[in-house]
Amino acid sequence: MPMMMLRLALPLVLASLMMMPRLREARAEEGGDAEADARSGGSRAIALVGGRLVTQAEAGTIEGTILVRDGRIEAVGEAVEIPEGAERIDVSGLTVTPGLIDARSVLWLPAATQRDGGNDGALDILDGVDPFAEDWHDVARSGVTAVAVQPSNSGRLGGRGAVLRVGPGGTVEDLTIKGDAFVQAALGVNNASGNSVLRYQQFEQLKRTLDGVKRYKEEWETYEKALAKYNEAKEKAEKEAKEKAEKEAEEKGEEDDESGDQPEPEKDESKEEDDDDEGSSGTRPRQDEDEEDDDEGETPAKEDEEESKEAEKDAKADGPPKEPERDETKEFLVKLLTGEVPLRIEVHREDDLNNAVALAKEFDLKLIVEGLSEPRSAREGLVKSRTPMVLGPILESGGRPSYRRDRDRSWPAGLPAEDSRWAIGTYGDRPSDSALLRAHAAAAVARGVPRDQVLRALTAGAAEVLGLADELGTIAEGKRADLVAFAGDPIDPSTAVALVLSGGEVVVRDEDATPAEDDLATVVDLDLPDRLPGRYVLQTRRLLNDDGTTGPGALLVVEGRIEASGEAVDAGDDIPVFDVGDATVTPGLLTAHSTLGQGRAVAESAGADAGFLRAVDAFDPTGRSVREMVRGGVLRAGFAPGSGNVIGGAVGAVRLGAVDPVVEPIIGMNLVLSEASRNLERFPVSLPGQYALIRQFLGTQDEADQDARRSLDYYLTGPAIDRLDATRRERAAALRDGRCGAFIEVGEATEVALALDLAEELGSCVALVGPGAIEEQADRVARLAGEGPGLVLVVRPMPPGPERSRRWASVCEAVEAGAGLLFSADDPEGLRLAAASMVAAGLPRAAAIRALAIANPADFDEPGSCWDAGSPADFVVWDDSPIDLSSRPLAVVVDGEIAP
Amino acid sequence: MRCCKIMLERFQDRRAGQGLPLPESSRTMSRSLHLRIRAWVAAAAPLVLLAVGPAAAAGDDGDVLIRAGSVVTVEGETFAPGAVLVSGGVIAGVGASIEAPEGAEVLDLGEGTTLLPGFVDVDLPGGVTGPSVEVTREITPRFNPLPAIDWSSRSFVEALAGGTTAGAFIPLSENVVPGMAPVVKTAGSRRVVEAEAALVVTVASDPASRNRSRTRPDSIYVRQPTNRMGVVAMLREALNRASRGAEPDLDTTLPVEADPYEPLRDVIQGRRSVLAISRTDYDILTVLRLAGEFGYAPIILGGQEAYKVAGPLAATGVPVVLGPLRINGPYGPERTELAWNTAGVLHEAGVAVALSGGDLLEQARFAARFGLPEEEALKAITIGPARVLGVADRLGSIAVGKAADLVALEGDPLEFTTPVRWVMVDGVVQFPRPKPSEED
Repeated sequence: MPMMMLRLALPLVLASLMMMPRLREARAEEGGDAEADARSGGSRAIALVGGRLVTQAEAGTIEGTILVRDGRIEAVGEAVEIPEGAERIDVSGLTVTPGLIDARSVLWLPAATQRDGGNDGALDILDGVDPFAEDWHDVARSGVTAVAVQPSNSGRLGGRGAVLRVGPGGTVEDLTIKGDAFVQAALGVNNASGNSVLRYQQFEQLKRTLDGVKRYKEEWETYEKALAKYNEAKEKAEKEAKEKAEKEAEEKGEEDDESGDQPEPEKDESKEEDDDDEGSSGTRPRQDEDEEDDDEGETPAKEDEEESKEAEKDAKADGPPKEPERDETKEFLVKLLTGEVPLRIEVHREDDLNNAVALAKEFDLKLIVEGLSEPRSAREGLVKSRTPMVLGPILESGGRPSYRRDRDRSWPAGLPAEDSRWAIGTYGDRPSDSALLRAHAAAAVARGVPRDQVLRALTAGAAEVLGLADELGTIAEGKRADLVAFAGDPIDPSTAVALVLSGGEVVVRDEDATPAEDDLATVVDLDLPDRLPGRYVLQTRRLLNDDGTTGPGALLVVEGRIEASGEAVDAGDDIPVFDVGDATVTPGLLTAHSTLGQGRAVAESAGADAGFLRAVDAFDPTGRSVREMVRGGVLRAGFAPGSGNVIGGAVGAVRLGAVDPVVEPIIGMNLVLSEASRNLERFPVSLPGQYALIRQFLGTQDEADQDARRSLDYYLTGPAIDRLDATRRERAAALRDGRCGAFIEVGEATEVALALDLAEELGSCVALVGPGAIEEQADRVARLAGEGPGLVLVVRPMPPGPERSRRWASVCEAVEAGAGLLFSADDPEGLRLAAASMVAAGLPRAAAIRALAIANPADFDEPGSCWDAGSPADFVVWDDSPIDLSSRPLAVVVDGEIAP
Repeated sequence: MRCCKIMLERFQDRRAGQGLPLPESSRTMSRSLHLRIRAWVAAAAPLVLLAVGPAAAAGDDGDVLIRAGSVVTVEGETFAPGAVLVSGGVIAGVGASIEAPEGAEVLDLGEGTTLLPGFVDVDLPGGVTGPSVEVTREITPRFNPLPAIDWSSRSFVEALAGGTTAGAFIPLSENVVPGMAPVVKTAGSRRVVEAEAALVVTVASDPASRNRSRTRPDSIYVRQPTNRMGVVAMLREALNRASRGAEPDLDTTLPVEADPYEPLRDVIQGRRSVLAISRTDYDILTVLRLAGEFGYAPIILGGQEAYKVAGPLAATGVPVVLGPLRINGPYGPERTELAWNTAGVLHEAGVAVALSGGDLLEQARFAARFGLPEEEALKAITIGPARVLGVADRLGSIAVGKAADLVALEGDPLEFTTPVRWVMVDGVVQFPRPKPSEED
């Protein structure tokens, strides 16, 4: 009985399954028009008019029009006819490039997917994509329209990677530009860095896996050959039998009518179906055989029986060849061996790279290599074979993993050759880190990779590496309409993005992004001697002025001090003049609040109130990060105590790279309301406790009560405690009277609110370091910025994302309302990137320059000025503006001499 | 201490110059437990509210008249149908029917609807930045989570959506004397109701659970108390030191508090109410014993096993604020044995009961389902907790002169399927949240 029901039900199910696509079609037809119109990717054409088009194709860079229809580029050129009804978007003055491609991203991947890796190649990254994630907004706003994603490098052979779009999600299919784009592999990345045995083991294991795939492929090839042979033989036998039967029939006589011939095969088929239904499932070999079938031990025997019955002929003695076991993973990985899908392998060291190349040779693989921290001699082979490469991250934010630790300072300069196929990856930990792609690109330029090559790597180069040259990477007819209009140089991260089209759909449009007036080409050949004389004049066409602009000017330097400055300085004939041409000359950059990697040396661990300490007393002028700073053009710092204490001590102003570093030992007191100073092992561990301690330190209670305060909680003798306490009280008094400022480290909105409470109460300028969640109290911030002793925002770098967008916007508002602005970071690139991202978010370029290069830490609430006569001759010669991350210091001068 | 005081004063300033009266309940508290405590059990004289309050006639701009299928005043009678007039964020009239003053906005909720006073949660969950207790010392009576409250926290929105319009933040039970509980509104422009509504003490094993006797000698983990007996001993010592005016003990009190014992002295003198965190029957008895020694009137907070000691609680007139409902198995570090009808048993024995810890309406529905009379279930989330926190003069019932904190429900409030239509705080509907355009 059940069989009967099944027989009835099955056709119904099948019928309904067949109907489904039709229903879907019908629905699509109904709502189609409206939907298509709603998405600009629909039939309505878009014309981008008047832009400078960096096509990355044969056409080169042209002025012209791009016509986009149905998500594709329909026409490009100087004379494109714009059809009626097309939406015109004016991009005059803007630079239009193909959408940028991040070749290593975690966009669309939830945290669990980001971590997931494997060793047998079974994963498909598309199974881990979250198509509803919102991070794409920030990535699109930076001009990136496509990202490559793959399983993590925690495994040797994770599985399939894909190229996804950056635009509204919905379904994984909508997002996928190319699935199965490559297979991820890694050698020498995990637990293997220093251990050659483990390294070799990984190589062997990967090789064994690939061997397994190869064996699998061969097994099936053998089987298919045998099967073909068997079928041929069977057919031949059948034919012979038929012929024989026909002959017999003919012999029987011709009076039989023809009706017998036609229905016969049909009858046979129906019979077969019946057989199936009657319980002998798996009696027929099927292509998509599943496990159930495998369990049937007697299958081959039955099969033979059936076969022989059907054929109505004696079976051959050996029967059909046995089918090898099917393995879906290996089935796919076979494509590696046939060259359909490339193996994308992460290798960092020369030996691993050689091993990867050996694997490629042995298994005839197409390779994409990434990592390449120390390729050494293996580089030549890569360049010669034009093996596609993915390079990144070029900027390291935070701790770098051990396998990237040996990278040269100038990496990846000198790695890709002019004709190399290569792309840049951001290798971020957070989905929106792909928004930093241009920052990585700019850093590559600053390290010496030619600008045009870098731009190519972001577009056409990346498309080629990912096997999408027909689809992405160039502005040409028929390509996917992924386009970006920049208000300036695309590589400069401070350039605003005016328009982004993703698959013909406008996903970003910023009418305020107006082209910068910056003239681009300023290639500088600096001709400065290694040792500068005691007196000289430095002349440039771009000397920084106090208002943040640049203009022609000269500096007279005498014995390490600036004697005079101006458009032309009056100096004797015997004084040598160095003309640096178009190079930009600025004072050393300022990191306004930093421990310069010396946080440990400048934090008291015995108690949370260390108001008697001064950070400058522990300043090490030769520390590693100090040297890094000097090399990167940062010559001034607000040197702060560590943030482990609520009252950390005094922040001092120091010159970096100078013999006599301390400028001002106390510019403000360091107060910490953020989580960093909460410590279970001593008071305080809570925010109310932190606040109470600060108020106790400040003694904002009435003066009469001062003596009632308990003394410091240190294991010292009475007189020592009294002395420290006196110092502490003196500092607190200075803070109350406005003789020095307060740097308050904050994060959460509640902490910002308490810091603003203190600011309202104090007679001193308060600097919010972070600057914390000021967006939650924008009104109060604006009010405080406009009145009183002043409010300064010390902006530290933040990863891209919606939080940063909101924070940067409120910083811009506060600055407009009158708040001071300073930048702070622990490395020069982070410092400049903070400024650049702020400019991209709408901060006037001059304001950013003033905060970065002109502001004076010793007097941080004043606007500051540069080139004061008598001040130390500390300056930096840049090949372009320091805000542009792709420019670099050509010469760093401290005390009138070139810094080593 | 001084700084704390100033800190708190500044919050009070934000309350638009409202004075800070001491909690009604604590003022009336008697010094000895042998006397019954009037504030809790003695029913406040029911306010017979006649149709129109004086302010209603004025017909000020911004007056709101709300008509509902029934108006449950909680303390007084229930009007069905009923009407409430709100003027200047305060209730100006309650009655069976009120004529709308000129220019007043009229909100007619329709038949079958219920209007309740806003719920008051003695233990609001979440909303504090960082730890809500200063665990570096054990006796921190001046600690107040108020400065660390994140006013934009999502937990306020959640509480508001459930009908909770006010409540207290309880410092965590990890200290012997964790600190002060402030009472705040969950929405509106004047959020702080009472900066120091009650002192919280712990009479349970929680403060001891962190401390170990064999770790680094300079670590806080090595300190006392390491057991429940030690917790009680330390609390008793602190109360003793406070009552004899001793110097603060540097090892147990915070360095920033000049006179940390002042709140404890207030407690002993009956000027400040005490919330004692205890869950098991023997801890609750300890609370009663300690209170007897020093002559103050405690309130039990938690009280999961209070049903076992309902008699002594009733005899001493100590109210119980029950912690959040946990019905699946023993609860907490002491594996407290829970009962389905703790609230009902306590009420029957004559103990004043309040519910706390979030989802108040759901908790009241459960309590009613398992035996607490319906009107008592509603009191346990409104006037009950308001009395416990000493703010019953301003919150907790629908009465002329009290804040217009109201909850409109689509039907019977104790029916599980009844949704909340809107929640009003100080005369302004705050849930569903007003659209930004309407806020201006």
